[in-house]
Amino acid sequence: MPGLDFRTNSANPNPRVACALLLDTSHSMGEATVRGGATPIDELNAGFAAFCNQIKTDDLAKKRAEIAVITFGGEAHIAIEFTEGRHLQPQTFKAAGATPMGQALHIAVDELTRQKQAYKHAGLLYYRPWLFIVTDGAATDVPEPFDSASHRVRDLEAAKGVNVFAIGVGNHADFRQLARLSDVRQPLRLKGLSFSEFFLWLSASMSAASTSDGAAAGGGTDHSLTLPPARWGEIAL
Amino acid sequence: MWHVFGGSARGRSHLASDSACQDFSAWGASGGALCIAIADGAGSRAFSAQGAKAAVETVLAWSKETFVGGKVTKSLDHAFAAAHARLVELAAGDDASQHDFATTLAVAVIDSTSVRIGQLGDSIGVVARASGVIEAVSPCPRSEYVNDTVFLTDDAWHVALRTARFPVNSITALSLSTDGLQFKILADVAQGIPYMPFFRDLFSWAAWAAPFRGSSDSLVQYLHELDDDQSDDDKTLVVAVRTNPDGAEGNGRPGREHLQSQARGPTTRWIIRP
Repeated sequence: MPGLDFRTNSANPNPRVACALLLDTSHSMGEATVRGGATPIDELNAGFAAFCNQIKTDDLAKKRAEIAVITFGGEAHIAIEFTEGRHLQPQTFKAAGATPMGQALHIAVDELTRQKQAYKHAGLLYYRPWLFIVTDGAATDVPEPFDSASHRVRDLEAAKGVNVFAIGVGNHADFRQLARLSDVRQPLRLKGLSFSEFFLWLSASMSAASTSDGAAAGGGTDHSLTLPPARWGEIAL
Repeated sequence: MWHVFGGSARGRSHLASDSACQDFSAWGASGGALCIAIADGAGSRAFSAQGAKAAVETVLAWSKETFVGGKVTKSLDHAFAAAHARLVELAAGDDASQHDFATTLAVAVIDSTSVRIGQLGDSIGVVARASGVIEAVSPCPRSEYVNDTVFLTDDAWHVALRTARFPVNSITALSLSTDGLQFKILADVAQGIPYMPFFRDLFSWAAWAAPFRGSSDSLVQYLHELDDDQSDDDKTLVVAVRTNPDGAEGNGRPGREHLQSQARGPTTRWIIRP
Protein backbone atom coordinates (compact mmCIF):
# COMPACT_ATOMS: atom_id res chain seq x y z
CA MET A 1 0.00 0.00 0.00
CA PRO A 2 1.55 3.35 -0.95
CA GLY A 3 2.40 5.95 1.66
CA LEU A 4 -0.46 8.19 2.64
CA ASP A 5 -0.49 11.86 1.90
CA PHE A 6 -3.66 13.40 3.25
CA ARG A 7 -3.95 17.14 2.94
CA THR A 8 -3.43 18.79 6.33
CA ASN A 9 -3.90 22.30 7.55
CA SER A 10 -0.70 24.32 7.58
CA ALA A 11 -2.40 27.62 8.31
CA ASN A 12 -3.28 27.25 11.95
CA PRO A 13 -1.36 29.84 13.97
CA ASN A 14 0.93 28.54 16.67
CA PRO A 15 -0.44 28.66 20.18
CA ARG A 16 1.58 30.94 22.45
CA VAL A 17 3.03 30.73 25.89
CA ALA A 18 3.97 34.02 27.51
CA CYS A 19 6.90 33.92 29.87
CA ALA A 20 7.86 36.83 32.11
CA LEU A 21 11.43 36.67 33.40
CA LEU A 22 11.94 38.88 36.42
CA LEU A 23 15.66 39.30 36.93
CA ASP A 24 17.32 40.90 39.93
CA THR A 25 19.86 43.45 38.71
CA SER A 26 20.42 45.12 42.07
CA HIS A 27 23.84 46.22 43.29
CA SER A 28 24.62 42.92 45.01
CA MET A 29 24.36 41.04 41.72
CA GLY A 30 27.54 42.85 40.70
CA GLU A 31 29.54 41.60 43.66
CA ALA A 32 31.64 38.49 43.29
CA THR A 33 30.88 35.88 45.91
CA VAL A 34 34.51 34.78 45.79
CA ARG A 35 37.28 37.34 45.59
CA GLY A 36 38.32 37.58 41.95
CA GLY A 37 35.51 35.28 40.87
CA ALA A 38 32.71 35.87 38.40
CA THR A 39 29.89 38.11 39.50
CA PRO A 40 26.30 36.87 39.45
CA ILE A 41 25.39 39.52 36.88
CA ASP A 42 28.14 38.28 34.53
CA GLU A 43 26.85 34.72 34.87
CA LEU A 44 23.28 35.90 34.40
CA ASN A 45 24.20 37.73 31.21
CA ALA A 46 26.09 34.74 29.86
CA GLY A 47 23.19 32.46 30.73
CA PHE A 48 20.65 34.74 29.11
CA ALA A 49 22.76 34.93 25.94
CA ALA A 50 22.88 31.12 25.86
CA PHE A 51 19.11 31.04 26.33
CA CYS A 52 18.59 33.39 23.38
CA ASN A 53 20.65 31.06 21.18
CA GLN A 54 19.24 27.82 22.52
CA ILE A 55 15.58 28.68 22.17
CA LYS A 56 16.09 29.34 18.47
CA THR A 57 17.11 25.71 18.01
CA ASP A 58 13.80 24.36 19.33
CA ASP A 59 11.21 24.19 16.57
CA LEU A 60 8.27 24.48 18.94
CA ALA A 61 9.64 26.88 21.52
CA LYS A 62 11.07 29.41 19.09
CA LYS A 63 7.61 30.06 17.63
CA ARG A 64 5.48 29.32 20.65
CA ALA A 65 7.29 31.07 23.49
CA GLU A 66 7.10 34.81 23.91
CA ILE A 67 9.47 36.14 26.51
CA ALA A 68 9.54 39.44 28.35
CA VAL A 69 12.33 40.48 30.72
CA ILE A 70 11.62 42.73 33.66
CA THR A 71 14.67 43.78 35.63
CA PHE A 72 14.65 45.16 39.13
CA GLY A 73 17.79 47.00 40.20
CA GLY A 74 17.28 50.52 41.49
CA GLU A 75 13.98 50.59 39.68
CA ALA A 76 11.83 47.96 38.02
CA HIS A 77 11.28 48.26 34.31
CA ILE A 78 10.63 46.23 31.19
CA ALA A 79 14.02 45.52 29.67
CA ILE A 80 12.61 43.40 26.83
CA GLU A 81 8.99 43.53 25.69
CA PHE A 82 7.28 40.23 24.87
CA THR A 83 9.31 38.80 22.01
CA GLU A 84 9.03 35.51 20.15
CA GLY A 85 11.83 33.13 21.02
CA ARG A 86 13.15 33.13 17.48
CA HIS A 87 13.66 36.90 17.65
CA LEU A 88 15.03 37.13 21.17
CA GLN A 89 18.39 38.90 21.38
CA PRO A 90 20.94 38.87 24.21
CA GLN A 91 21.26 41.94 26.35
CA THR A 92 23.87 42.94 28.88
CA PHE A 93 22.20 43.78 32.16
CA LYS A 94 23.96 46.10 34.62
CA ALA A 95 23.84 45.69 38.39
CA ALA A 96 22.93 48.75 40.43
CA GLY A 97 20.63 50.00 43.15
CA ALA A 98 18.14 48.44 45.53
CA THR A 99 15.77 45.48 44.96
CA PRO A 100 12.24 46.67 44.08
CA MET A 101 10.84 43.18 43.66
CA GLY A 102 7.29 44.25 44.47
CA GLN A 103 7.32 46.79 41.66
CA ALA A 104 8.63 44.15 39.27
CA LEU A 105 5.89 41.71 40.27
CA HIS A 106 3.18 44.31 39.71
CA ILE A 107 4.60 45.07 36.26
CA ALA A 108 4.77 41.35 35.46
CA VAL A 109 1.14 40.70 36.40
CA ASP A 110 0.04 43.73 34.37
CA GLU A 111 2.08 42.65 31.36
CA LEU A 112 0.96 39.02 31.47
CA THR A 113 -2.66 40.11 31.70
CA ARG A 114 -2.17 42.51 28.79
CA GLN A 115 -0.46 39.81 26.75
CA LYS A 116 -3.31 37.38 27.26
CA GLN A 117 -5.72 40.06 26.10
CA ALA A 118 -3.58 40.60 23.03
CA TYR A 119 -3.75 36.90 22.25
CA LYS A 120 -7.51 36.93 22.60
CA HIS A 121 -7.87 39.94 20.32
CA ALA A 122 -5.62 38.31 17.75
CA GLY A 123 -7.57 35.06 17.92
CA LEU A 124 -4.52 33.15 19.11
CA LEU A 125 -4.71 30.14 21.38
CA TYR A 126 -2.39 30.19 24.35
CA TYR A 127 -1.11 28.21 27.29
CA ARG A 128 -1.01 29.30 30.89
CA PRO A 129 1.68 31.98 31.22
CA TRP A 130 4.87 31.49 33.20
CA LEU A 131 6.44 33.86 35.68
CA PHE A 132 10.04 33.33 36.76
CA ILE A 133 11.64 35.49 39.40
CA VAL A 134 15.36 35.26 40.11
CA THR A 135 16.98 37.17 42.99
CA ASP A 136 20.06 37.05 45.17
CA GLY A 137 18.55 39.08 47.96
CA ALA A 138 15.31 40.35 49.40
CA ALA A 139 12.74 42.85 48.26
CA THR A 140 13.55 46.32 49.48
CA ASP A 141 10.11 47.70 48.66
CA VAL A 142 8.48 46.21 51.74
CA PRO A 143 5.86 46.17 53.07
CA GLU A 144 4.45 47.91 50.00
CA PRO A 145 4.27 47.37 47.14
CA PHE A 146 5.76 43.93 47.77
CA ASP A 147 2.89 42.70 49.97
CA SER A 148 0.16 43.64 47.53
CA ALA A 149 2.20 42.31 44.62
CA SER A 150 2.78 38.95 46.28
CA HIS A 151 -0.94 38.68 46.96
CA ARG A 152 -1.72 39.46 43.33
CA VAL A 153 0.67 36.79 42.12
CA ARG A 154 -0.65 34.16 44.50
CA ASP A 155 -4.26 35.00 43.68
CA LEU A 156 -3.48 34.78 39.98
CA GLU A 157 -1.81 31.43 40.50
CA ALA A 158 -4.79 30.16 42.49
CA ALA A 159 -7.07 31.18 39.62
CA LYS A 160 -4.85 29.12 37.29
CA GLY A 161 -3.75 32.37 35.70
CA VAL A 162 0.00 31.78 35.87
CA ASN A 163 2.68 29.23 36.72
CA VAL A 164 5.10 30.77 39.21
CA PHE A 165 8.72 29.76 39.68
CA ALA A 166 10.85 31.52 42.31
CA ILE A 167 14.61 31.06 42.31
CA GLY A 168 17.10 32.30 44.86
CA VAL A 169 20.79 32.80 44.22
CA GLY A 170 23.53 32.56 46.84
CA ASN A 171 23.33 32.69 50.60
CA HIS A 172 21.53 35.98 50.96
CA ALA A 173 18.41 35.24 48.97
CA ASP A 174 15.33 35.51 51.17
CA PHE A 175 13.62 32.20 50.54
CA ARG A 176 10.83 32.89 53.02
CA GLN A 177 9.93 35.94 51.00
CA LEU A 178 10.10 33.97 47.76
CA ALA A 179 7.88 31.29 49.27
CA ARG A 180 5.14 33.91 49.59
CA LEU A 181 4.86 34.08 45.81
CA SER A 182 3.50 30.59 45.23
CA ASP A 183 1.29 28.12 47.03
CA VAL A 184 2.14 25.47 44.45
CA ARG A 185 5.92 25.40 44.06
CA GLN A 186 8.61 25.83 46.63
CA PRO A 187 11.34 28.27 45.71
CA LEU A 188 14.51 26.66 44.44
CA ARG A 189 18.07 27.64 45.17
CA LEU A 190 20.31 27.98 42.16
CA LYS A 191 23.31 25.72 42.61
CA GLY A 192 26.24 28.10 42.73
CA LEU A 193 25.98 30.48 39.81
CA SER A 194 24.68 27.96 37.32
CA PHE A 195 22.65 30.49 35.38
CA SER A 196 23.58 28.85 32.10
CA GLU A 197 22.19 25.51 33.23
CA PHE A 198 19.03 27.25 34.40
CA PHE A 199 18.50 29.06 31.12
CA LEU A 200 19.18 25.95 29.06
CA TRP A 201 16.62 24.12 31.19
CA LEU A 202 14.18 26.98 30.65
CA SER A 203 14.61 26.73 26.90
CA ALA A 204 13.98 22.98 26.99
CA SER A 205 10.99 23.52 29.24
CA MET A 206 9.22 25.93 26.95
CA SER A 207 8.26 23.01 24.73
CA ALA A 208 6.66 21.25 27.66
CA ALA A 209 3.90 23.80 27.92
CA SER A 210 1.73 21.74 25.60
CA THR A 211 1.16 19.01 28.16
CA SER A 212 -2.56 18.52 28.66
CA ASP A 213 -3.78 20.22 31.77
CA GLY A 214 -6.89 19.56 33.77
CA ALA A 215 -8.78 22.80 34.13
CA ALA A 216 -11.19 21.17 36.48
CA ALA A 217 -8.92 18.49 37.81
CA GLY A 218 -8.95 18.17 41.54
CA GLY A 219 -6.38 17.03 43.99
CA GLY A 220 -5.47 20.38 45.44
CA THR A 221 -2.03 20.45 43.92
CA ASP A 222 -1.15 21.76 40.53
CA HIS A 223 0.57 19.03 38.55
CA SER A 224 -0.05 20.75 35.29
CA LEU A 225 3.54 20.83 34.11
CA THR A 226 5.96 18.06 33.45
CA LEU A 227 9.31 19.74 33.07
CA PRO A 228 12.81 18.39 32.59
CA PRO A 229 14.72 17.72 35.82
CA ALA A 230 15.92 21.01 37.27
CA ARG A 231 19.51 19.97 37.91
CA TRP A 232 20.50 23.59 38.34
CA GLY A 233 18.45 23.92 41.49
CA GLU A 234 17.75 22.44 44.89
CA ILE A 235 15.02 22.78 47.45
CA ALA A 236 15.82 25.79 49.55
CA LEU A 237 13.55 25.50 52.57
CA MET B 1 -20.08 -3.88 6.57
CA TRP B 2 -18.02 -1.71 8.91
CA HIS B 3 -14.26 -1.71 8.75
CA VAL B 4 -12.13 -0.23 11.50
CA PHE B 5 -8.46 0.62 11.48
CA GLY B 6 -6.05 3.01 13.04
CA GLY B 7 -3.72 3.34 15.97
CA SER B 8 -1.30 5.67 17.69
CA ALA B 9 2.13 7.15 17.22
CA ARG B 10 4.37 8.57 19.89
CA GLY B 11 4.88 12.30 19.74
CA ARG B 12 8.28 13.90 19.49
CA SER B 13 8.42 14.67 23.19
CA HIS B 14 8.01 11.02 24.09
CA LEU B 15 10.39 9.93 21.35
CA ALA B 16 13.01 12.36 22.66
CA SER B 17 12.66 11.10 26.21
CA ASP B 18 12.19 7.49 25.09
CA SER B 19 9.03 7.31 27.16
CA ALA B 20 5.85 5.42 26.46
CA CYS B 21 2.96 6.56 24.34
CA GLN B 22 0.21 7.86 26.59
CA ASP B 23 -2.52 7.41 23.97
CA PHE B 24 -4.34 4.11 23.73
CA SER B 25 -7.01 2.78 21.43
CA ALA B 26 -8.97 -0.42 20.93
CA TRP B 27 -11.98 -1.64 19.12
CA GLY B 28 -14.01 -4.79 18.95
CA ALA B 29 -17.38 -6.33 18.25
CA SER B 30 -19.62 -8.38 20.42
CA GLY B 31 -23.27 -9.22 20.38
CA GLY B 32 -23.57 -7.88 16.85
CA ALA B 33 -22.47 -4.36 17.71
CA LEU B 34 -19.19 -2.53 17.41
CA CYS B 35 -17.29 -0.49 19.98
CA ILE B 36 -14.31 1.83 19.44
CA ALA B 37 -12.50 3.60 22.26
CA ILE B 38 -9.54 5.95 22.32
CA ALA B 39 -7.92 7.65 25.30
CA ASP B 40 -5.23 10.25 25.83
CA GLY B 41 -3.47 10.05 29.16
CA ALA B 42 -2.65 13.45 30.67
CA GLY B 43 1.05 13.98 30.16
CA SER B 44 1.42 15.73 33.47
CA ARG B 45 0.10 12.84 35.55
CA ALA B 46 2.16 9.96 36.87
CA PHE B 47 0.04 6.99 35.78
CA SER B 48 -1.85 8.50 32.88
CA ALA B 49 -0.67 5.90 30.37
CA GLN B 50 -2.07 3.19 32.62
CA GLY B 51 -5.22 5.27 33.03
CA ALA B 52 -5.70 5.54 29.27
CA LYS B 53 -5.19 1.81 28.77
CA ALA B 54 -7.46 0.84 31.65
CA ALA B 55 -10.21 3.21 30.50
CA VAL B 56 -10.21 1.78 26.98
CA GLU B 57 -10.08 -1.83 28.14
CA THR B 58 -12.91 -1.21 30.58
CA VAL B 59 -15.09 0.21 27.83
CA LEU B 60 -14.40 -2.80 25.63
CA ALA B 61 -15.28 -5.13 28.52
CA TRP B 62 -18.44 -3.10 29.12
CA SER B 63 -19.40 -3.52 25.48
CA LYS B 64 -19.18 -7.30 25.77
CA GLU B 65 -21.66 -7.28 28.61
CA THR B 66 -23.95 -4.70 27.11
CA PHE B 67 -24.28 -5.60 23.46
CA VAL B 68 -27.01 -8.15 22.97
CA GLY B 69 -28.62 -9.27 19.74
CA GLY B 70 -27.22 -6.42 17.68
CA LYS B 71 -28.47 -3.82 20.13
CA VAL B 72 -26.73 -1.77 22.74
CA THR B 73 -28.78 -2.17 25.87
CA LYS B 74 -27.36 0.69 27.93
CA SER B 75 -26.52 4.31 27.32
CA LEU B 76 -22.97 5.46 26.74
CA ASP B 77 -22.97 7.12 30.15
CA HIS B 78 -22.65 3.65 31.63
CA ALA B 79 -19.46 2.98 29.66
CA PHE B 80 -17.87 6.16 30.98
CA ALA B 81 -19.10 5.47 34.48
CA ALA B 82 -17.55 2.01 34.36
CA ALA B 83 -14.26 3.43 33.13
CA HIS B 84 -14.28 6.16 35.78
CA ALA B 85 -14.97 3.61 38.49
CA ARG B 86 -12.12 1.44 37.22
CA LEU B 87 -9.63 4.30 37.46
CA VAL B 88 -10.80 5.16 40.97
CA GLU B 89 -10.37 1.51 41.86
CA LEU B 90 -6.89 1.38 40.35
CA ALA B 91 -5.84 4.48 42.26
CA ALA B 92 -7.13 3.06 45.52
CA GLY B 93 -5.22 -0.15 44.89
CA ASP B 94 -2.01 1.77 44.26
CA ASP B 95 -2.61 4.15 47.15
CA ALA B 96 -2.49 6.96 44.61
CA SER B 97 -4.74 9.82 43.67
CA GLN B 98 -7.29 9.07 40.97
CA HIS B 99 -6.03 12.21 39.26
CA ASP B 100 -2.69 10.49 38.71
CA PHE B 101 -4.55 8.27 36.21
CA ALA B 102 -6.08 11.23 34.36
CA THR B 103 -7.10 10.54 30.79
CA THR B 104 -9.54 11.69 28.20
CA LEU B 105 -11.86 9.12 26.64
CA ALA B 106 -13.86 8.93 23.44
CA VAL B 107 -16.17 6.05 22.55
CA ALA B 108 -18.10 5.19 19.41
CA VAL B 109 -20.72 2.48 19.44
CA ILE B 110 -22.37 1.19 16.28
CA ASP B 111 -25.28 -1.17 16.39
CA SER B 112 -27.98 -2.13 13.92
CA THR B 113 -29.87 1.11 14.38
CA SER B 114 -27.55 3.85 15.47
CA VAL B 115 -24.11 5.34 15.72
CA ARG B 116 -23.42 6.82 19.13
CA ILE B 117 -20.39 8.85 20.07
CA GLY B 118 -19.44 9.94 23.56
CA GLN B 119 -16.50 12.17 24.36
CA LEU B 120 -14.89 13.39 27.53
CA GLY B 121 -12.01 15.77 27.05
CA ASP B 122 -10.37 17.20 23.97
CA SER B 123 -10.75 14.31 21.55
CA ILE B 124 -11.90 15.04 18.01
CA GLY B 125 -14.86 13.12 16.66
CA VAL B 126 -15.88 13.54 13.04
CA VAL B 127 -18.57 11.83 10.96
CA ALA B 128 -19.27 11.65 7.25
CA ARG B 129 -22.97 11.66 6.55
CA ALA B 130 -24.56 9.73 3.76
CA SER B 131 -25.38 13.11 2.23
CA GLY B 132 -21.66 13.75 1.87
CA VAL B 133 -21.51 16.29 4.65
CA ILE B 134 -18.54 15.97 6.99
CA GLU B 135 -19.03 17.41 10.44
CA ALA B 136 -17.53 17.51 13.90
CA VAL B 137 -19.37 15.62 16.59
CA SER B 138 -19.94 17.73 19.71
CA PRO B 139 -16.63 19.61 19.64
CA CYS B 140 -14.87 20.12 22.93
CA PRO B 141 -15.79 23.45 24.52
CA ARG B 142 -12.62 25.50 24.83
CA SER B 143 -11.27 26.72 28.11
CA GLU B 144 -9.03 29.74 28.33
CA TYR B 145 -5.89 27.70 27.77
CA VAL B 146 -5.38 25.53 24.75
CA ASN B 147 -4.27 22.54 26.81
CA ASP B 148 -6.96 22.75 29.48
CA THR B 149 -9.40 19.91 29.33
CA VAL B 150 -11.51 17.65 31.50
CA PHE B 151 -10.56 14.14 32.41
CA LEU B 152 -12.37 10.93 33.15
CA THR B 153 -10.91 11.07 36.65
CA ASP B 154 -12.59 14.37 37.46
CA ASP B 155 -15.31 13.95 40.04
CA ALA B 156 -17.76 15.86 37.86
CA TRP B 157 -16.85 14.00 34.66
CA HIS B 158 -20.51 13.29 33.88
CA VAL B 159 -21.24 17.02 33.59
CA ALA B 160 -18.67 17.34 30.81
CA LEU B 161 -19.64 14.21 28.87
CA ARG B 162 -20.73 15.04 25.32
CA THR B 163 -22.84 12.50 23.48
CA ALA B 164 -24.41 12.35 20.05
CA ARG B 165 -26.54 9.77 18.28
CA PHE B 166 -27.16 9.26 14.56
CA PRO B 167 -29.28 6.75 12.60
CA VAL B 168 -26.81 4.13 11.44
CA ASN B 169 -27.72 4.50 7.79
CA SER B 170 -27.06 8.22 7.91
CA ILE B 171 -23.36 7.73 8.61
CA THR B 172 -20.84 6.34 6.14
CA ALA B 173 -17.66 6.93 8.12
CA LEU B 174 -16.41 8.29 11.40
CA SER B 175 -13.11 9.02 13.01
CA LEU B 176 -11.91 9.53 16.54
CA SER B 177 -8.61 11.21 17.23
CA THR B 178 -6.66 12.73 20.08
CA ASP B 179 -5.64 16.36 20.41
CA GLY B 180 -2.12 15.68 19.20
CA LEU B 181 -3.54 16.03 15.70
CA GLN B 182 -5.62 19.12 16.28
CA PHE B 183 -3.42 21.66 14.51
CA LYS B 184 -3.27 19.56 11.37
CA ILE B 185 -6.81 18.18 11.05
CA LEU B 186 -8.86 21.11 12.28
CA ALA B 187 -9.59 24.22 10.27
CA ASP B 188 -10.33 26.14 13.45
CA VAL B 189 -8.85 24.70 16.61
CA ALA B 190 -10.79 26.99 18.94
CA GLN B 191 -14.13 26.06 17.37
CA GLY B 192 -13.27 22.44 16.62
CA ILE B 193 -14.16 22.79 12.95
CA PRO B 194 -12.75 19.94 10.83
CA TYR B 195 -10.28 20.70 8.07
CA MET B 196 -12.37 19.31 5.23
CA PRO B 197 -9.57 18.40 2.79
CA PHE B 198 -8.04 16.13 5.42
CA PHE B 199 -11.25 14.31 6.20
CA ARG B 200 -12.26 14.01 2.56
CA ASP B 201 -8.89 12.41 1.87
CA LEU B 202 -9.07 10.23 4.96
CA PHE B 203 -12.56 8.90 4.39
CA SER B 204 -12.01 8.41 0.66
CA TRP B 205 -8.85 6.46 1.36
CA ALA B 206 -10.57 4.49 4.11
CA ALA B 207 -13.36 3.40 1.78
CA TRP B 208 -10.77 2.31 -0.75
CA ALA B 209 -8.43 0.66 1.76
CA ALA B 210 -11.10 -1.12 3.74
CA PRO B 211 -10.70 -4.54 2.09
CA PHE B 212 -6.94 -4.61 2.47
CA ARG B 213 -4.93 -6.02 5.28
CA GLY B 214 -2.39 -3.58 6.57
CA SER B 215 -4.60 -0.49 6.54
CA SER B 216 -3.92 0.10 10.22
CA ASP B 217 -0.19 -0.19 9.58
CA SER B 218 -0.48 2.39 6.83
CA LEU B 219 -2.42 4.77 9.00
CA VAL B 220 -0.02 4.41 11.92
CA GLN B 221 2.91 4.89 9.58
CA TYR B 222 1.23 8.04 8.36
CA LEU B 223 0.97 9.30 11.94
CA HIS B 224 4.65 8.53 12.53
CA GLU B 225 5.69 10.42 9.44
CA LEU B 226 3.30 13.34 9.71
CA ASP B 227 5.23 16.57 9.49
CA ASP B 228 3.85 18.48 12.46
CA ASP B 229 5.90 21.37 13.78
CA GLN B 230 3.09 22.59 16.02
CA SER B 231 2.62 19.72 18.43
CA ASP B 232 4.96 17.17 19.96
CA ASP B 233 2.09 15.25 21.52
CA ASP B 234 1.14 11.62 20.88
CA LYS B 235 -1.24 11.15 17.99
CA THR B 236 -4.12 8.70 17.65
CA LEU B 237 -6.46 8.24 14.73
CA VAL B 238 -9.05 5.51 14.39
CA VAL B 239 -11.42 5.44 11.45
CA ALA B 240 -14.52 3.34 10.86
CA VAL B 241 -16.00 3.17 7.39
CA ARG B 242 -19.14 1.51 6.10
CA THR B 243 -18.71 -0.10 2.74
CA ASN B 244 -22.35 -0.89 2.06
CA PRO B 245 -23.85 2.57 2.24
CA ASP B 246 -27.19 1.41 0.88
CA GLY B 247 -28.00 -0.62 3.93
CA ALA B 248 -26.99 -3.34 6.29
CA GLU B 249 -26.19 -6.79 5.08
CA GLY B 250 -25.48 -10.36 5.98
CA ASN B 251 -25.51 -12.16 9.24
CA GLY B 252 -24.45 -10.71 12.51
CA ARG B 253 -21.07 -12.21 13.07
CA PRO B 254 -19.94 -13.02 16.59
CA GLY B 255 -17.48 -10.44 17.63
CA ARG B 256 -13.80 -10.83 17.53
CA GLU B 257 -11.92 -8.35 19.51
CA HIS B 258 -8.68 -6.67 18.86
CA LEU B 259 -6.84 -4.69 21.48
CA GLN B 260 -4.64 -2.03 20.01
CA SER B 261 -1.60 -1.65 22.21
CA GLN B 262 -0.28 1.58 20.70
CA ALA B 263 1.07 1.24 17.32
CA ARG B 264 -0.35 -1.20 14.89
CA GLY B 265 -2.95 -3.81 14.27
CA PRO B 266 -4.80 -5.51 11.51
CA THR B 267 -7.77 -4.09 9.75
CA THR B 268 -10.87 -5.49 11.37
CA ARG B 269 -14.25 -5.93 9.80
CA TRP B 270 -17.67 -6.49 11.20
CA ILE B 271 -21.06 -7.05 9.71
CA ILE B 272 -23.76 -5.51 11.83
CA ARG B 273 -27.13 -7.24 11.58
CA PRO B 274 -29.94 -4.84 10.64
